Amino acid sequence: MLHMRANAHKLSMHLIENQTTMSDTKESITHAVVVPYPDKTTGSEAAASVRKQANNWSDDKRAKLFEQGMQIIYGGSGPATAKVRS
Amino acid sequence: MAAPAQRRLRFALDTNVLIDLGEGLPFAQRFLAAYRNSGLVASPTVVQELVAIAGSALKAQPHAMTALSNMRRWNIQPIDLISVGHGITGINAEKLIGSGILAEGEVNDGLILIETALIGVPSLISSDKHLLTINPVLLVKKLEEFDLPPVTIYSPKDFLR
Repeated sequence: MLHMRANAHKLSMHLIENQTTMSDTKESITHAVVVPYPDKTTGSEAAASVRKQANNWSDDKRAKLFEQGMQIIYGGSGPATAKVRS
Repeated sequence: MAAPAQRRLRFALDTNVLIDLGEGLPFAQRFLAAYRNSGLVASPTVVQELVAIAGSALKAQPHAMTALSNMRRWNIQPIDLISVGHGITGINAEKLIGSGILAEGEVNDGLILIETALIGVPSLISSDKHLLTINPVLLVKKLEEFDLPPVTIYSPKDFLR
């Protein structure tokens, strides 16, 4: 009889534990809200703004900007990029 | 000894996406976490625009600088074209505008698109509304006329559904 009681107690504890786990999981799912990628960001506004001016850049200016970019990316350490032959 | 396999370049990122990454926006970080080993590249015009923004008084100035400084750490390869390639991109970008596929004056949009095709990258990821509203069928036809491979333009949100 005592043995049966102990088993029943174990079973009820197991159920309670599982319940806790389930409710915890449910809560964490509710709180993990996934933010979608918005249409408008600081990046999209800045790029649109600079693109208006960039349409009139000369070839020299473009080359200079690219070179500066490579220096920032590679820290002035050299072989800049993969060159692609068309 | 066999030469190491060259990693396939799959996605060209537009300036706007790179600035979002530089700002550390969670959705941009999620995109990078998912695709950083998928052959990400930045075309010459994108690098030029980032430098221009990094030297401007725009709100995005520090984010553009962060994007440039972290590009290698993020596994994004900046690509240059040999000089003849630059000539071809200019001419073909003008043709894209002339054909009405791109709006008048959107030279840089055209350059980024043609550079992506010349590099051989099949997908361009951008938030630019001019690029995203291009008719994909007409674009593929036009690129075919230029002897260039097709490019599909996606919004970054297409990748995070």
